[in-house]
Amino acid sequence: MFEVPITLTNKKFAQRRKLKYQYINHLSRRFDRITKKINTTDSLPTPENSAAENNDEDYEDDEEERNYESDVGESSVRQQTKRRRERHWKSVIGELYSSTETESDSQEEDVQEGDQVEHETRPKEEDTDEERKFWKKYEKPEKSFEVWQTVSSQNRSPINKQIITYHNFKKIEKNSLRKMEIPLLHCTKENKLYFQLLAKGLEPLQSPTSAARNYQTRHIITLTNLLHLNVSRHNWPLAYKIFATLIRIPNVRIKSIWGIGVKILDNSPNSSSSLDFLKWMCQVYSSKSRFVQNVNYRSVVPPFQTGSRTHTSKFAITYLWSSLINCQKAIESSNVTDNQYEVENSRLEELIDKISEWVLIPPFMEDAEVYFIYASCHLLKADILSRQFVNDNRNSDLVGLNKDININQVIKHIHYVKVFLQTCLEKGGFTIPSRLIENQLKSFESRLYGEAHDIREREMVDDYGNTDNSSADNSFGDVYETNAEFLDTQLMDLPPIENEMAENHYSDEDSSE
Amino acid sequence: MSEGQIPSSDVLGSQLGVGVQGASLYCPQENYTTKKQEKPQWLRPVDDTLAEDALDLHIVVKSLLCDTAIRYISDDKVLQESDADDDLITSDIDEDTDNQGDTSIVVNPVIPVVPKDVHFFKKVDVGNGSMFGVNCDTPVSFQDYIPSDLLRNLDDTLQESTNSSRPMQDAFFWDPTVANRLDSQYIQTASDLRNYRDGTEIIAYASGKTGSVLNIAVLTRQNTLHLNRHNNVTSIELHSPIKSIKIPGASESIGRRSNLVGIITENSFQIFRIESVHSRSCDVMVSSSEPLYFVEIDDLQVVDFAFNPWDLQQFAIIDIKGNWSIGRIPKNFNNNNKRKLQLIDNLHGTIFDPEELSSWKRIEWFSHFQKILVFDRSKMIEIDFMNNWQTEVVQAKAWSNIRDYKRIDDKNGILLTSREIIIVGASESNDPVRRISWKHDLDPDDTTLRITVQKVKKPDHILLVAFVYSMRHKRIYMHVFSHKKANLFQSLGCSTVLEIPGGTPTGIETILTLDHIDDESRREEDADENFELVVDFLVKLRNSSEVYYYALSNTQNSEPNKQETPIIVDHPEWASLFNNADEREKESIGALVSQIKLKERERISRVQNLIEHENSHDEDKYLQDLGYRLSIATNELLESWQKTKDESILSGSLSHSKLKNLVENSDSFASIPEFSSLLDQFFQYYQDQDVTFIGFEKLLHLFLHEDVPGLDIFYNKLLQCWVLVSPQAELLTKEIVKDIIWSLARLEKPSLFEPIQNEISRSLSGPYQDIISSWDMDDINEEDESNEFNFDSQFSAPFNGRPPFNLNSQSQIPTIKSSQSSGLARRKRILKTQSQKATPLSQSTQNLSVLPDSMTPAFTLMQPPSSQISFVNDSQPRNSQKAKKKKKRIRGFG
Repeated sequence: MFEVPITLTNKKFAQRRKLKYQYINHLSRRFDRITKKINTTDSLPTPENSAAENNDEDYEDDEEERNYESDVGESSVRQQTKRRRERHWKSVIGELYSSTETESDSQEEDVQEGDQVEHETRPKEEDTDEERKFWKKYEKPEKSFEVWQTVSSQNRSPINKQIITYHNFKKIEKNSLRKMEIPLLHCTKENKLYFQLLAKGLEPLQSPTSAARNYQTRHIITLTNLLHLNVSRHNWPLAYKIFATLIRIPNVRIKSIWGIGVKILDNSPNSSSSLDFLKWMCQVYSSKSRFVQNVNYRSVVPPFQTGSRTHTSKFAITYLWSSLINCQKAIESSNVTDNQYEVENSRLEELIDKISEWVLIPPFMEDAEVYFIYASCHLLKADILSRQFVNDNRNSDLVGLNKDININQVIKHIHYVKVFLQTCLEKGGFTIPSRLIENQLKSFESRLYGEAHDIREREMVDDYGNTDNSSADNSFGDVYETNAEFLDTQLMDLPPIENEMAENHYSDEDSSE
Repeated sequence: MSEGQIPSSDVLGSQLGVGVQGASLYCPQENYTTKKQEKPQWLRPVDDTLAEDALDLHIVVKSLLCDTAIRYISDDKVLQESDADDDLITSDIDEDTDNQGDTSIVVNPVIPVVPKDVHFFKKVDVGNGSMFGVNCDTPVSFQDYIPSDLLRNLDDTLQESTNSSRPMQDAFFWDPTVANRLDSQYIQTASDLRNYRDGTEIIAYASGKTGSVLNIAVLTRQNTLHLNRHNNVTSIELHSPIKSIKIPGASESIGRRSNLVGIITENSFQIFRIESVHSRSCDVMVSSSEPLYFVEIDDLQVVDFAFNPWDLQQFAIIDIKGNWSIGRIPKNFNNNNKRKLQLIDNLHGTIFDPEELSSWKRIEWFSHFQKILVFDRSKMIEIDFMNNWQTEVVQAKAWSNIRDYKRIDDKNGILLTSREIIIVGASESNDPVRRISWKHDLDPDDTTLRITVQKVKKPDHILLVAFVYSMRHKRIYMHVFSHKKANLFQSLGCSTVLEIPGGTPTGIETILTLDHIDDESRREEDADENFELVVDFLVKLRNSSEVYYYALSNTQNSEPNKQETPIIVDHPEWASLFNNADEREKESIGALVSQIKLKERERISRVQNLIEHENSHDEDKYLQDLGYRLSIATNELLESWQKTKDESILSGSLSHSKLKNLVENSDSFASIPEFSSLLDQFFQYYQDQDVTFIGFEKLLHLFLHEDVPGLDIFYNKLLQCWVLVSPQAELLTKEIVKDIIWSLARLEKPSLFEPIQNEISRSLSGPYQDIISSWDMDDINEEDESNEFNFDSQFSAPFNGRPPFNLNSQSQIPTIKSSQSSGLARRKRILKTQSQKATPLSQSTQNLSVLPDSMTPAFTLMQPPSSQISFVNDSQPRNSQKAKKKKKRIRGFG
C-alpha cells in the first residue's frame, strides 16, 4: 500500500518499461511527422493561425517562439534547451554564481560539457536506450516531482485546435504497432499482453510491489506498511522498533523514509534525538554534486530525498527549521535568569554560526529559504533581547553602559534581519510577508525606548492580520516613512549588500560582545 | 505575489510530508507582561494547535444505504428496497405519477431466480450492422438477451459470468474510462427555486446486469442517511453500460443548485434533468436530452465531462485522446426538436500527447467561468477558451503522475499525484498556483488512486478532509487541511489510515463525500472548545453491489464509555490492566468482565437463598429426591431414544443429552461429597445398562492441570485457591463446582451410535471407506508394526543398552514399506495376518498395554519396577529374534 524504500528491479518490469518507451517514442515520432506535414501543406491563413500570430505579438521572443510553439512535440525540448542556455548566459555574465569566479567557470564548463555530451551521444543512442531517450526530452525538476509553471502568462500559447481524429490516430498507431511486432516476439506472453492492453489505453492494476515474490522484498514491504500504519495510529514505541529494523536491512534507502524517522524520534522520550538524526542525515547524505539532467534518476527521486549543488535537500531545511523552532521553545519555557536560559541561548548562537558557515557553500548560498531562516534566527534573537526592556521584572542592571550595549545588540540584530531578508528577496523564488516582519522589527525597536511610541506601534501591529499584502512591495525603505524619525535603524544607511557581509557580521558581533 | 501569510516558495508553495518542516514565520507576542502564552509563536504550514488525537477518526455509523443488485421492476420503473423494510412498497399513485404503472414484481437478488421476462430462444438474430446505433425511441420489450455460452458458464461461475471471456485482463488491468458510477448531491428543481426550498439530496447510480440502468432516488436523513421512505427509485434503461455519472455542483455565487445528471455510456453522452420531486412519495420525474452519440463527434469515446459552475447551460467533454469541446445544454428537454446537446463550433481543442497511452483524462472548470483545467496522466493544462490560450501548468513526466483532481470551490481544487496531495488555488490574476502539498507516501505505482474531499465548516476556518482510496485495497488514507480566510492553507500534520471493515479484501470502487446544508444550530454547537470533527461518506466496494453510508468522528463514543467506567470504578486493580490493553483487547476484557459479574450476581443470590432456607431444608431428602427425579428422567430419555432410533439413523443425528436438561431445581444443596456419591451411584447404575457418561476426571484435570480423582478433591483444591479471595469463598466455590458439574455431565448410549456409524460408512464412496476402515484396523495394524517399531522405543530408552547392530536393524526401516503400501493393500494384508497371527496376537496385546508407557522414561519410572523388568524381559528375546531376521535381509542386499 505504501511506497517501499528500496529499488525494485525486475527483469519483467524492465522489459515492460522498455517496450513502453519504445512504443511511445515511435508514436511521438510518427505524430511529429504527420503534424509537420499538415503544417507545411496548410499555408493558407486560417483563423487559428492569425490568432496565434496576434497572440505572439505580445511576447518578446518572436520568431523562434512562434515556430516552436506550433510544433507541440518539440516545444518541451526547446524549453529545456532554452533554459539551459539562459542559465549558461547568466553564468557567463556572472549573475548566478557571483561569489567566486572559479565556480562560475566550472559551471560554464559543466554546461558546455553537458551540451557536448548530449550532442555527441544523441546520434549514437538513437536506438539503444529508448527510456533514456524519452527522459532526455523533458526537464527534470529537482525541487518538486513535477514541473510547475504557475506564472502562466509567460508561457501561454494559443489553443491547440488540431484535434486528433480517430482516423489520424489509427494511422499513427498502426504504423507504430507494426514496428513493435519484432520486439514483442521476444517477450514473455504476459508482457505481450501487458503491452497490448497498455496500448489500448488501459492501466495496470498491479505494481511491482504487489508482484514481488522475493522474501526479503516482501519482508520490507510488510515492514513499510506497518511503519506507516503505526505512525498514523501514533503507536510510537512500535513504530520506533519497526523503523530501527527497517533501516538495518541492506539496500533500504534511509533517504526515502527519513521524514518518518524524524516524526518517530520527535515523539520518543529523548526529545533531541530527532535533531541528532537530522544532523546526521545532513552530514552523511548532503551531496554537493551537480544535478545532471541526462542521468535517469529512477531509483532516487531528488525531491525530498537528495540534495545537489543547486538544490538544498529537504532534510537540511527541516534540520534548520526544527533547530530554530526548538531553540525558541526552549528559550520560551526557561526563565531569563536560569542557567537553562544561557544554555539555550548559546544553542541559538551556535545555530546562527552554523548557518553563517553554510551560506558560504553552494546549495545554501543560492537558497532563499536558508537566508530566510538566517533572518528568522536574528529576528528571534532581537525579540528575546528587546524583551528585557519591557518585562515586568525588568533587569535592574539595565542602566547606563549595560543598557547601551544591549540596545546596540538589538539594533545590530534588527539590522541583520533586514540584510538577510533583502538577500532572500534577491535570490528570488521565495515569498515572504515582508511587511509583517518590518512591523515586528519596528515594534522591537520601540521597546528599547520605553512606552512612548509603544501605543502607536501596537495599533499598527494590530493591523497585521488584515494587512493588505498586495501592497507589500519587495523594497524595504518605503514602508518606513510613517515614523522613521523615531527609530535609529530606519535612518541607518544600508551598505550595499554583498556576500562578504555575511562573513563580516560575525567579526562585528564578537567585538561588541 | 505575497498573499499567503506563510512564507513559501513562489512556485511550489509549502511542501510537506511526514516529519518535514516547512518554512514558518516567527510571530512574537506583543505583550510580555503576562507569562501565559496567548497564541502560538509560530505560524507554521503544519497547524499544530490541535491535539495529536484530533484526527483519530473512527467509524460511528455504518449503515447500508442501498444495494444496486436489488431491483423492483415495474413497467419502466425500478423500485428499490433497503434491508430495513421487508414489505415491498409500491409508489403511491398520485396525479403527477399516474402514468407510472404499479404492477411490481420482486426480483430476488440471490441469483438463481430467473426473471420472469427471460425467454429462451434457440437463436437470436442480432443485426450485425450498427452495433452502436441502438434505437432508443422505439419501445424495446423488456427482455434480457443472454448468449447461450454464457448460460452454460453460469453454473460454474455465477459471479464472474460477465467477464468470463477475459479473466487475464481483469486481473491485471482496469479501465480508466470507467469513472464513478455513483453520485450523490443536493439538487434544486425549478419548483424548489420558486419556493425557496433548500433542495433535496439525491443519489444516482448504475445498476443492472451490465450496469446499464440509471437509478435516481431521493435520500432522507434521519440519524443516518437512507433511501426515502417508500424506497421509490426512478430507473431508466439506457441500453448501454454506464461509465460515469455526475451530478454537477454549482458555484456558491449563483445561489442555486443544479438539477442535472450527466451520464456517459459506452456509446453516448446524455444529460437528464430532474423536473420535479414529489415531496410525499419521493417520486422523481426526469426528462432527458437526446444522447450525443460518439459517432456524431469523432467516434472517440468520451471519458469525462464537467458542468460550468457559473452557467448551468454549459458543459465540457473530453475524449480518450484528449480532444475537448464545450457544449450547450438546451433549456427545455421536452421540446422534441430542440433537445439535442450542442457542441459549440469553435470552442474545442486538444491536449493530445502521443506519449500518453492511458485513456484517463479529466476536465474540470477552474476559477473562472471561461477557464477549464484539462488533465491527462502527465499534464495539467489550463485553458481559457474565450481568450484562446492554453498553458501547461504541470508537467509530470519525470517522477510522478497525475492521479486525480477534485474541485473544492470556486477558487481551489485538490490534485492528487502519485506522490503528493496538492492544493491548487487561484492567484489574484486567476492563475493556478500551488498552495500546499502533502507527500502521502502511498505506492507511487498504484494507478487506481483516487481522491475525494469533504468540506467541514468550522467557525473560523474550513477543514478539507481528503480521502485517498485505491481499487487495490480497502484502506482509506485521510489527510486534513485547514483553510482559513486569506488563502492560508495549513496541513494538520498527520494522516490517518482507516480500514473499511467487513467483506472480502477487494478495493474501493467509489467514495462519495456528502455535502451538508448548513444549519445554524450546528454551527453554534461547534463553537465550543472541543475540536469535534464529523465526516460522512458513501462507499461502494469493488465487486460488491452494496453502497454503505459511513460517518466518522473523532469524539469518543459515549456508549463504550458507559460500559467501561463502572468496571474500572469498582475494581481498581483492573484499571491498570485496562490502561495497558489496546482497543480490541479492551473490548474482549469488557465482555469477559461483564459475563463474570453476571454469573457472580446469580451465584450470590443462590447462595443467599440457600442460607435463608437452610433450616427448613432437609438436604438428605433433597438429594434423594434429586436422584429419583434424575433416574426417572433418564429412563424416559432412553426410551425416547429407542423409539426414534430409526429416524436418527436416517438423519444421522446423534442422541446425547446434558444431565442438566433432565431435571429442574438441581442445585439447592450444600454438601459436595454427598452429591458426588449420588452421581457415582447414578453413573454406576446406568453404566450397567449400556449408557456412557462423560469422564469427569479427565475434564477436571484440564482445570487444575493435575490428577483429580474425585469431585470433593476438586472442590477442596479450588477452595484452597480461592479462600483468600473472598470471605464467602466456600459457598461460591460450591456453586461454581455445581455449575461445572452440571454443565459437563452428559450421557449417551453407544449402542445407538453403531447403526448410524454403519449407515454413514456405507454411504461413503470407495476410497473414503477404505480410509475409515483402515483407521478401524489401526489397533491391529499398529500391533502388527509395533513389533518392528519397538526398536525405536527400545533404542531411545537409555537403560536398554542395545548392541550397535540394532542400529542397523533400525535403519532397515520396515516402516517405509508399510506406509507406502496403499490403504487397500494394507488392509488386505492385515486381514490375512489377522487369522495367521492368532497365537502371537494374545502375546502382543499383552505387550501393547505396556508399550505406550515404555515410550517415555518418565512413565516407566513411575511404574512399579517389577513391571518394567518383566517388560524388558518380555521384549528382549522378541527383539533379538527380529534383529536376526533383519540381518538376514541385509545380507540379501549385499
